[in-house]
Amino acid sequence: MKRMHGLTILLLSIIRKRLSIIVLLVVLPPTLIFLTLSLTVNSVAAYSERLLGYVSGTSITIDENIDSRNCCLPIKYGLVTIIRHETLLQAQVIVVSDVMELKNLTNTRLRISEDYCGYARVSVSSALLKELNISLGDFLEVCVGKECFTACVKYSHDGKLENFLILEGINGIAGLNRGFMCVRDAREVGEFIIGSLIRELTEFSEGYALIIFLSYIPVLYLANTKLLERLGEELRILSTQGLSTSNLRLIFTLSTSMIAGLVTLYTIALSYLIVSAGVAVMKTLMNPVLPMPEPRAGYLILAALIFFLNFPVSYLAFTLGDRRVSN
Amino acid sequence: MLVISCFRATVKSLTIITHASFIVLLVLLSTISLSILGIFTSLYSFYENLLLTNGEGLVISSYAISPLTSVVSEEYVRNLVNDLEGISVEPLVFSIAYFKGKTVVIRGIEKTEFSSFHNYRGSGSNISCVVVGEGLARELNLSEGRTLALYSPFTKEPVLVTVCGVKQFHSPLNYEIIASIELSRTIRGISNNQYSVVILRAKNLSILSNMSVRIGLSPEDVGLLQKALLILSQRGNALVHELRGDIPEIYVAKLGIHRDFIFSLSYTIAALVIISDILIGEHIFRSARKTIEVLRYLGISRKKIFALLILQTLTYVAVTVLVAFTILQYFNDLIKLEVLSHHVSPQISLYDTLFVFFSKTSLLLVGVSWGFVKSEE
Repeated sequence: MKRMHGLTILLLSIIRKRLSIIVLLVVLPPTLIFLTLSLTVNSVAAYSERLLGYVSGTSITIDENIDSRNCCLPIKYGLVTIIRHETLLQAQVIVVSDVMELKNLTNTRLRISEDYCGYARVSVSSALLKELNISLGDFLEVCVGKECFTACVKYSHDGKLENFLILEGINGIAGLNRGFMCVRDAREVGEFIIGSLIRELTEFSEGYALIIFLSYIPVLYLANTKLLERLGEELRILSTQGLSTSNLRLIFTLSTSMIAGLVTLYTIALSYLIVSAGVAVMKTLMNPVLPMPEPRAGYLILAALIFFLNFPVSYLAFTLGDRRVSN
Repeated sequence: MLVISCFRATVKSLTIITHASFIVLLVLLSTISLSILGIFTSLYSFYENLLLTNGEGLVISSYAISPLTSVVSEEYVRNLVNDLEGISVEPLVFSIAYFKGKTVVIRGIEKTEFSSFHNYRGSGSNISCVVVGEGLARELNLSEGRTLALYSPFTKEPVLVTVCGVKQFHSPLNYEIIASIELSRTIRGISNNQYSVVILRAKNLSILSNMSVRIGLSPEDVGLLQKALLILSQRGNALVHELRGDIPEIYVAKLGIHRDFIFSLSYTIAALVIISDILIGEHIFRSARKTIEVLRYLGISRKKIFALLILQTLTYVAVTVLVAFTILQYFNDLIKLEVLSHHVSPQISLYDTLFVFFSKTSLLLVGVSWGFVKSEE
């Protein structure tokens, strides 16, 4: 009962003497910066998602692992050298077991030669056929590293993968990488790219906010020593009323931590208002597509964190302060 | 003289641990405050740094929000510099690609310059050769000879490249993939007669004056061409020029943000971070209170006591800002931001350092005065 009475006295004194400003001075900068960074990153992420709405069509990717959500084909890929009229030309190559499977996967337009081909078969884009001055049914010498073989131009593809040679019917060629050619929704790949950019920003803001919070722990200690000094009179009276030092320490720690938590809640609301006002101004004057930041319940955890963080700091400030007084 | 003696007495009355605690705490907050300003400056001039103009050069760009999306025609540049001697033309083709969960910048440079970056002797014409900056290679675990399947968001297809070399460059090149212009065009998905940007550098102003006539500039504006961004845009059938001296400003403006907004925001945050200096200032006074009481008992005036407190505060701030500045200069990896895989370190200017110095001094003095006035009461 005495403890409850003491806690009420300290809380009322902190409010009446406007000592919460001291706590605000400590809590405001790190909380405001953390929330501003966090809300801005969220706003940028939402903005990027809106931009993704304009992305359409499909993307072709080469992945190391198969993706069960998308249509993928096992391939070998790498760079080869084409030898044509004693000229060497480097080209990108995809090796598949069946060119028709790749055609169906990527929706490539394909022309097929009627001629019989007993060698490895290759598909060359129309542009490359022109550059190499060859036509369907001709032969090409292809080298992978030091291993060379002859391939007949059985197919010609257009529309997709125009910079690639597509080889079929060769096995056991060393020096090529194994992978999967996947066709995905272009939005999905766009999300990966934007996700990587947002991740860069998030990692920075989290690391930076942590540094700021850690730097503010000593300042929080200074704020608690100041509170201890300003509440000296109240603590003395409570002591004369029979509250032991350990009880005084407990109610001091509790009251300052509660105030720190409440001030953090106030700062969270203030930060949200500041960022929202900033975005609203930018939305009106500069960029109407900019989305407003969304409040998240998770931010309230910050208030609980500050409450618990202040516990040991306040305890230490009281203990050291008490020792100094005793000395 | 009396103030100096009193200052010595006050300093000596505090333990080394007390001084060290104040300095460490103030260094921490100064470092944060300075780094905020430095990071803002780095971000503000990110595209200018990407262009590597080193403070000079006329950058020809299309009306795009960045060099990564700009496209200019070779024909325009040829007509602009035609018959002019003493002008170096540096075409660049920038692109971005996605690889192993990272978005990386591809810098396409002229073949002769690119060949000097590596001595890879693979078979064929090596058109797929790239040189990777050592910083990026370390992050992506890349080594010479590896074949990479980069995904181009512009063509929505993969592009295969061979790592012909891993090289240590200065930032920003150290976090980029350097390729020939031809390969970069393939990744960017632009035709053979297009570049992202072209940088023109002239040996003297008289050469530029000939060029200024072709752009339609008045003779007195020739100086602008030494470092500017020439933006080309199409209006109907006509090609319109826009010449801007401040390269970062125009890139930021294209994002819809005013330059002054960026600066006022960064300075507000930098000042806000150190607002708790008021509390530290009050604590500085409190730690020296006993000595001050003795000095007051000995008859030292309030003005002189306050002067010695100012001196003490100035000493603390000078030391801490200097230490924070040194930390950020020599250990700039401590606080880094990644943008398109580039490590953006804080760029600290003297102006920013002075801002932090004066704002810290003012806030600490507010705290000191708060304690002093209370004590006198």
